[in-house]
Amino acid sequence: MALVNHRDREVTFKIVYCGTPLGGKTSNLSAIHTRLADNVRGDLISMATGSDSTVFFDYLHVNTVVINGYSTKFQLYTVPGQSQYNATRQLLLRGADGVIFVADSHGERMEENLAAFHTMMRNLEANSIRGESFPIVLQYNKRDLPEAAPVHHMDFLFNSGDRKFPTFEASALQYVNVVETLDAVTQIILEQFHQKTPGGIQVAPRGVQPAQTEGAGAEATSTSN
Amino acid sequence: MDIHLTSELADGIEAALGDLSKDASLEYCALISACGTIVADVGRVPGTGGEAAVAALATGALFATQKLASILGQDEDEGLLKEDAKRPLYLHPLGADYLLLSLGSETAEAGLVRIASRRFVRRLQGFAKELCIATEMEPEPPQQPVVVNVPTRVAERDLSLIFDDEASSQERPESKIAAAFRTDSTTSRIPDGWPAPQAEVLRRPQKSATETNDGPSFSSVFSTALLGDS
Repeated sequence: MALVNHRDREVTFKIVYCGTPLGGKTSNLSAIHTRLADNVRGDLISMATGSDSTVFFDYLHVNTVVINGYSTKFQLYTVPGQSQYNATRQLLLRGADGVIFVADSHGERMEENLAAFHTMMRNLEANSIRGESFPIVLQYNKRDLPEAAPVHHMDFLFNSGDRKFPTFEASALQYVNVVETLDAVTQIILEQFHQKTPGGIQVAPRGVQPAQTEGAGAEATSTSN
Repeated sequence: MDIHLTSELADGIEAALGDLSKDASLEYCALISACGTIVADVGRVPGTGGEAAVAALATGALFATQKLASILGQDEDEGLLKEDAKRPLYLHPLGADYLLLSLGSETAEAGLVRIASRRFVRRLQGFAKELCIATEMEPEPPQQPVVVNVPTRVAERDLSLIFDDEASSQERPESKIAAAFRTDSTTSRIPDGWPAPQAEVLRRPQKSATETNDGPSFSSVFSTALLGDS
């Protein structure tokens, strides 16, 4: 559920990283935090235990592009992977605009991956988020492990349904395909948002509501920002 | 379904938060959506964490506490007060979809922050209801096809950084790991009984961000914000 602030010309989106425990969700966020320029991102808020498991959530916000005069902000969350935190996971998926499912490629973790995937889908449904068009991107993390399962095996497990999700092979600790995964889900979110709001966001001069603007578009684009 | 915050509504909420801030000697107060996004706020949070992080944590704390209360059989929609020698924090739900965050100043009394905040709850709940109605409204389609415009110099500069075709079309060298994956993926044998793979595995977003007749493409929003890339 994007928040469109027409006065301040801001759009805020929420992206949630889901996946199996210790699968690399926090590592993804940490890699993004490390690699993004200081002026576009905030601090990484992380609540992890001594064993590196996330207790509540990790959080990072990023200011990125200006589209149609509106600045876009992304709030990135990770959910705790452990099954006992399902209530927290459900809470964090509330109002999400897109999800990245991080699967652990280790051959012995496929059952846990599948359980996490099905729980995520159930949690999306519990939040009245319809799975058929909701932006979801799969990331097969830890591809650098010698025990990594073949990609087509993972595709069969997670991506053999009617709907095909974009899929990335990644190694979050080595920054491989981390940002690309995030780019992919962002692209779907922004394209869907653009389609939902024909012509993108209607731009109006400060203090004028978009609905009151005649011929929104080329002539109505002046701004004091 | 998105939340559309109009100027009128934003001004109204900020006025109410401003009044509350004065009444209760607050350093910061905000109306926050249940997904952790600040709808409107007044003041600044101390420290380096920033308002967005505080809002996300406050939302998590309040709704986690509510869930805990409901598991324990407590159904009252009460707020959450964190007392402290300095800067008491009070969170109060505004219906199911919004919450109020009040952060007192160094000299503010925790009890007074709570009482003052609760006095403003009804007024803010009115705005929260209006926000819910605005959320349910579908935006009207424009009369004519609209192309994406870059209205200001600031926006032009920002877009040129992000949507720089030349910069984004420069392929980064493929890592040894990625190369190894490719070899593994293509040579590894499909286990007996497994169907052939159908999904296309993407290694990079397909193309840099450009604008077309069909609308803009947003394919490399984050890649172009990487350190050293802009």
